[in-house]
Amino acid sequence: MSALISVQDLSIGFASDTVVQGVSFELHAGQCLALVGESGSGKSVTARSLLGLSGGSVAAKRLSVLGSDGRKLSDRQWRAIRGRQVAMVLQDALMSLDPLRPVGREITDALPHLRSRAERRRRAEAILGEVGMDDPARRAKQRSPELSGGMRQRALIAQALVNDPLVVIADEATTALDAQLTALVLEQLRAIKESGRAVLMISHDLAQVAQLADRIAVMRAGRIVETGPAARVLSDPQHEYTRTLLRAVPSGVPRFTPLSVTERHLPVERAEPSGTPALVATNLGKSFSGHQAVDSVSFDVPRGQTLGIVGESGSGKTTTARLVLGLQRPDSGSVSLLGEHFAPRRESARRALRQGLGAIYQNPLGSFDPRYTAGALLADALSRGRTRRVAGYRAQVSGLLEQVELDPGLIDQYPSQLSGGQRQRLAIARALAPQPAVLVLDEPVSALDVSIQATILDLLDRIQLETGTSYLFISHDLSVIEHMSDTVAVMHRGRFVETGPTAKVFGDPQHQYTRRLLTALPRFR
Amino acid sequence: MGTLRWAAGRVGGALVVLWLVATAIFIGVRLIPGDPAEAIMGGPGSQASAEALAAARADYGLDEPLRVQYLMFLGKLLRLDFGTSYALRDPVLGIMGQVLPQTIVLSLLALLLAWVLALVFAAASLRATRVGAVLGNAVEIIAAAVPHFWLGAVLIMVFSSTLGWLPAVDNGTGAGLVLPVLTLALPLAGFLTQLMRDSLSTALASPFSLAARARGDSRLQVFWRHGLRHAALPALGMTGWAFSSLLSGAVVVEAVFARPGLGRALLSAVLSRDIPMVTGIALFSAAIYMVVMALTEGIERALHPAGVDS
Repeated sequence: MSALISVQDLSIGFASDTVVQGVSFELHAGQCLALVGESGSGKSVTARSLLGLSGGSVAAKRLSVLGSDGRKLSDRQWRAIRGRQVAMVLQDALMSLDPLRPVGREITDALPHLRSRAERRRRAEAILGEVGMDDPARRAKQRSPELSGGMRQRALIAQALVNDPLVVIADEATTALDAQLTALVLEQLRAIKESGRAVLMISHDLAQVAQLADRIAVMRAGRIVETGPAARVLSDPQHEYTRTLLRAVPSGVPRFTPLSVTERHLPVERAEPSGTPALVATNLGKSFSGHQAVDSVSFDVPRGQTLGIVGESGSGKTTTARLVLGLQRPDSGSVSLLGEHFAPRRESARRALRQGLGAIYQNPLGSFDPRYTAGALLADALSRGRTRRVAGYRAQVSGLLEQVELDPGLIDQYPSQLSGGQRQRLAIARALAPQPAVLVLDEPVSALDVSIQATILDLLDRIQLETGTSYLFISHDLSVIEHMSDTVAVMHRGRFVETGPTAKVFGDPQHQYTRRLLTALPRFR
Repeated sequence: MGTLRWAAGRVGGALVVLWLVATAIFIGVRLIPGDPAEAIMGGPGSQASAEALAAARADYGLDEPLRVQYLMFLGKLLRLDFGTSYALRDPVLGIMGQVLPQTIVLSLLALLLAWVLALVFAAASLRATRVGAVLGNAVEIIAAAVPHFWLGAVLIMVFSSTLGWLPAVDNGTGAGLVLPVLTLALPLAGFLTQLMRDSLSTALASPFSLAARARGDSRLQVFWRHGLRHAALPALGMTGWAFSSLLSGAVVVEAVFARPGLGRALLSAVLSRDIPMVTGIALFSAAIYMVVMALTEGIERALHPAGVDS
């Protein structure tokens, strides 16, 4: 059986930088190959070179794309391959479909070879129907922001599949999607594979590719360090780096067991929680123009413990966080912090209490003033907004940097100069500055690579053991929640459908919805 | 339904604004020291005849209480009766009918040219080298900052006096429109380019543009289908404002190029203190401004439907 795609000794460079070097692989019909590695490992650029879209200078001993020599193709010849023979599904349908155009137009754009407009429209509606879109004729006229997450993801897949391409490249196509959407995308990719076409899957997450890949190639710093059948790579990794990636997957790893290689084993000596809980929410409710976003939600977070809230996008997790933080006034119910009434309450009356409550979000960059250096951000937090000059707080600032394992040399850097992991560490340092009793963490690692996520989760574990801070940990990611929580609440349509000790909820789910969620949890250990 | 409500709100809002403008004019005229009748007839310097003053008094009901005067004033406006220009001795409405089309044609052509230039500049600057980008940026900022009277004078000097390619004064062939339109369009083009470039480069670097190329779109198609819309949005939001700046720019340009139009009429009306004329022009300008605002908002809504954020 000859390969659909055959690459030998591929190198890609940008100016003086070589980002991909000596990469070789083959992709056969009916097969799924996964390229796995961290951001910056060169996996996306490698995939794009199969469409002539790497943007850099490409050299290879062989770059065969469905029989054409990719080294010699003109832009016009590439365009005949793109979308027709090799198609690409990108991460994040919200960004990958033009928000200003109806999704149907994005699909008909790929059909310039069909002469009549009516014919193009019929084909677009047919493919939307094939990927499971209800009422394709109406959906085709809607723009992506008007569609739900699932609809949008289907439209994104439809625009890639409309020409029945033989090879589909899925570039982080499931990253940051909740369980149900991930299952949806994987199911579509599986159907492509089973119809005798080929899938090239690009991901940073070994657990995710485990569900579909036949072969796995692990990339690091532009090179493939290990390649082999998926089952073998997952069960018996040969390369040290593959082991690091595997270890970073939190699914099924007990609490406080380090996920990253750099973190030493932590001494687990936690006092039994006693006294008043750090945070108590009673019967919280909030509706937006008739839609009940949060519906009679009650919980408490004991001191030094973690409550994990897991749910799909739109389930009301973030609204719950905003009610707890006092950023939105609940329609009903109340929140108390360390036994004191916190919300709903006048801001001036609870200002002193705010020190006890910190927040960390998915995208720290958006929560930093871009003109403050790392040091200024911390000085600002330490002085409660009185100054941004590091001078008076130098010892405390370096103490915080040390606590989150950031290089003290970064003190004069601006947030935009930091990496994703460093930014999240800085956000944690800032949240810790007033020594809060409770941290509200809203999807704190969802934008990070699995390997970086592992180091941040380890850091959060260590901080909790050292300081006794309580966490309200919110995520769509079941495996992260399982690893981080003492108690889990499963949220669905604004309600807690199931609450209990982590082991119990994950081991013996009672509610039907929890069971459905758990089927999407990748298990390969 | 949403569109109807929006349109109703727009019309209602416009009526309120026009009413406020009219009220401001009414109060302003009464605040001028001395006899309001004299003020309406061009102030003490105009030496209006006793009969003319008496006619104005009767016309505006100046002997009545203020309340009644105000209602009479509004009533006339409702009937589109703006009175008679005392300087030109013609009904204001008739004069408007003559000058308004001139100015609107001038402003619309300038707006169109500014948009085209801005799009071309913004697209070209994407492919420019570092030095080219800095130079282009400098040119745009200078263009945006240049005052109309200076630009107009320079253009006349270069293209009319020295090269003799284009007439400085309208000779009825349309060639006379070129220089005034350029004078109005260039500063606006500089400003719009600055607005468009950012969103254009963001749009062309975003995943949906990559997705479009992966479907087989050419660079030009991506620019046409995706880049243009995203570039247009911020500039469109400013177009209502831009049009009003064109109207005030027209005051200068029409004077420099000796063209008839709303701007010229306003200038001479103000200089001769022709209150009925000033009232008419102010109300018409406000109305035009609101029509343009509603139009651009309508286009924005079509590009970017309500209920859609980001």
